[in-house]
Amino acid sequence: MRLLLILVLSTCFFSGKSNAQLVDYIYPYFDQPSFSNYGTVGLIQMPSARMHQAGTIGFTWSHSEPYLRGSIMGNPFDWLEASYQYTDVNNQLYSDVREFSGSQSYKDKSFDAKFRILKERDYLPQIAVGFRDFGGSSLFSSEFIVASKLVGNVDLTLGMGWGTISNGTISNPLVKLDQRFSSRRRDIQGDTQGGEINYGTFFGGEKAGIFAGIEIFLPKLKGARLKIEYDSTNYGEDGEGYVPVPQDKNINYSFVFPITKGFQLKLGYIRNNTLNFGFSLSGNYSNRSTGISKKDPPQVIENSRVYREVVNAKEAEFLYKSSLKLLNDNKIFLQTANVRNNRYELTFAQSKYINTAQAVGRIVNILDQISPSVIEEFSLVGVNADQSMFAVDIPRADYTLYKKTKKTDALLESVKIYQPDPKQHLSHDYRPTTKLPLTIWKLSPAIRSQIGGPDGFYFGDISIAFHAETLLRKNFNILSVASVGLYNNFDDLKLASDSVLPHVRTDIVQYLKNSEKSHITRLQANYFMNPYKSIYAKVSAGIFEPMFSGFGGEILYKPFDMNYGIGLELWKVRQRTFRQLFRSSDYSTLTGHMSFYYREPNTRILFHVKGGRFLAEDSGFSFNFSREFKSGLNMGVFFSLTDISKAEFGEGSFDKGFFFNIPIQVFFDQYSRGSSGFGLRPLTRDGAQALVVAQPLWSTTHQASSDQMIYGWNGFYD
Amino acid sequence: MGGMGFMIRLLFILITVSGCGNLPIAYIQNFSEVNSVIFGFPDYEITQDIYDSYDNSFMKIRFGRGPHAILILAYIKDDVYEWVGSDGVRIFTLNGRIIRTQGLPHNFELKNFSSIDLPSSKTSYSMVDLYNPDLYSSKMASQFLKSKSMDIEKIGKAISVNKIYETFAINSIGWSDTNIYYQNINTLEIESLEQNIHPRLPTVKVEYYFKY
Repeated sequence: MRLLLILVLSTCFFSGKSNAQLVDYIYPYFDQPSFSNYGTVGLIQMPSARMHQAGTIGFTWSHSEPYLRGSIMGNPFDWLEASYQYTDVNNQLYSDVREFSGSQSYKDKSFDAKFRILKERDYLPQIAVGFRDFGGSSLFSSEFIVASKLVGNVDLTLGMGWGTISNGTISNPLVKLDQRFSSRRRDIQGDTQGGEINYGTFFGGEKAGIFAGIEIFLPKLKGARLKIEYDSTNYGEDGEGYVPVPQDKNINYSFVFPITKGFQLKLGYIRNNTLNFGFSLSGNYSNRSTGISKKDPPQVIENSRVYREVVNAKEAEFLYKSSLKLLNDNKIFLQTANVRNNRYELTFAQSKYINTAQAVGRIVNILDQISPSVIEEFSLVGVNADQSMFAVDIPRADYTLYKKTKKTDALLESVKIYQPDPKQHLSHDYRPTTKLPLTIWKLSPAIRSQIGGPDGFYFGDISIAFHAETLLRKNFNILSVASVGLYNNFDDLKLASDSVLPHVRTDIVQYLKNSEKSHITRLQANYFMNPYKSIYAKVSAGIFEPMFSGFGGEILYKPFDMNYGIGLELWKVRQRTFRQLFRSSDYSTLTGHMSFYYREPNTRILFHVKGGRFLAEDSGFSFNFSREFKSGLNMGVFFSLTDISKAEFGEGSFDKGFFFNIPIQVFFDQYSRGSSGFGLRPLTRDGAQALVVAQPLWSTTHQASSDQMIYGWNGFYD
Repeated sequence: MGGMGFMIRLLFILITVSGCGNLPIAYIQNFSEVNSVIFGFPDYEITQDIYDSYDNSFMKIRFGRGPHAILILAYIKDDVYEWVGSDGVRIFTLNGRIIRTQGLPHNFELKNFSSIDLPSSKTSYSMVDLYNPDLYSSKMASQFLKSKSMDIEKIGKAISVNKIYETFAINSIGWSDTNIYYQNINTLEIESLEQNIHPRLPTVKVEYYFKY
């Protein structure tokens, strides 16, 4: 501890006083926290109170014998860090039965969460409370309260730990409040199935531990830091892991070197006997300008004066046709158009811009350049699958007034956003015909991964997939995905399902093994309807997913000016054979749910609860919380509870997982609507499994919301 | 740095494209889109046809392994050339060397600098303004070293150039690096360069294509 104090004082002294800008260059990435070996923001083995900004996603990898750990972390809020760890425990076999798992080492999966309860102030530290391994096997189960304070170029951390990060140096102060905190027996953590949240043991135990550390930002070394900590981890018999790990000293050291703002390497020495190394990769994807700057500015139309004052001033027909052509060049598809009383009404579809307000802005930019001066207002209606999504009336004079300064807030005051009449566009003068059927297709590679089973650490395949969407009518399409495997290592997958429920998901190994041959992943026909305002409907039939085919429908009530929706879906499905062509197995069932959606307007959290009957004929509820950011990044968690017992469900006790989707456009200099997703369930079980049907109504009607338009409005002039 | 960038991109793609297995859905990505993220944006050569398609002098510019851009020579004032891009980026050059930028995420301006033809034994000093974060009038020390001549190819023609190295350092912020200028032996004009203009930007590579 004396060494820590000397280091702190000396580095503060040498750092001196610098102006803020100089500091930014001397200590680059000063605001970018670094990760602990547990894959969460922290010191080396110990946590800190630091957090990434909301909208950050990170991946870390670290090796410190006997643990090899990979982690995925997300910050849905500035005050919440959630992470999933996958740990290869090298001093323990996966199973005591060698015939079952061979020499495969134990693989542990765990969830961590950290909550900031006080933000750092001038004279107050940042304080956080955290939970490690709170829903898993409890090998690393611990809780902590920690404070961090930046002094000069040194970040000081002091905390108290319970569970595996308590080496028992002090009595648990919480026992004085309630005797229940005195107990923390590992055999009462969770149940025999694992995967339960261990509420009963939180902050429990007769003893607690104190930890401390410093993170020194080294000057003029491209953002490098030195970390030193006092490690309060219990490495003993009743501590973390299965087998005690020798600890020669409780001081750990680590050197962190950032290659870029989001990519850090680290090398450390822990327990005075173990070398530790790793890296982390993180990025913030929350802002609308996240990622590569776009080389796709609003189009400046050549000879626009000729369009505006000569050609289009003569006849509305010319205006319609030039609009069709110029919008089409920008991947915006005019559906109908009409000029009426100095107002230009236009219906469009587009699949280029994530932000609908930006798409509207791009359209008005073109129309303003080519429309004759008699046009005083643009009235745009967005459609998707021939369903009317929204209408926006934009006074031309106001658009022009605020264009240069990009005062979107001022423009919004003169704009009218409303729900259109679904039939209104049928009365438009100009309705260009689309040659149908129309097929859009692409070939692309696909990679699947299966990580962390007893048969091996990694299994995966790469295949070539053919994707097609055929439009038979504007509201009637067929989606198809067919694949052929190129390479896989699934042959070594042996684990058979032990589920007592119908094997609706746990035969995944058989499906994976059979996917090396040509197979059909989806062949789904959808017919969309919009019979009344706020009511959307869809009927679908065919092959929905690799494991099920059938038919059914969905109906959604989604009021335009409200933040909620109510849905109902019902499907009659039959399980497909492992070969994944057109044949079905004997198992069939009726599955369906009633859904309630609510988007909280300030935090942009979407709360989705659905109740009904799942594929294995178990009944219950599924809860899904996700947050949407301006960039289009979406991240969330889900869990499901049904009427089956924990024993019937099997390992994991209940279905749970997390996901995030990053818009592809953040990596490119052009706008596009695609996204790249990552989803994870710790375990594949049969309970609480819902059918996966492409193009659910809540997604296809994403734009049908005034709140959604207003949320993206500051991107109108982008 | 290039290898590290590759690693970062590759890791990210592996994380996002390969959804971790236990979900029944495969996350499928268009490889053509992913390709440039992993491997960087492909280089392309300015051919005679491309050269002829421009009415004015232009530069091909690229930051690190990012996409290329073409900037057109818009103005010349007091021997300072102003090159303008379609997205509002402006690059100012003097005798081929970038001395000022506008419209980039991080801009810079070089002041009171000496010629790149300075003898190699001599250290010259100039002042640099850096923006975002703003840091004004930092003292930069430079030394130039001319290596033996070599040939580069432009629009299918070999051009003999001197390769001039500039090692520079701004000690106050601990930033040092090396710039490379390819100077035409006959005309003494800079044909292309690799210059570090801001500690938070990758090296910028420029090729000049003049039309007189």
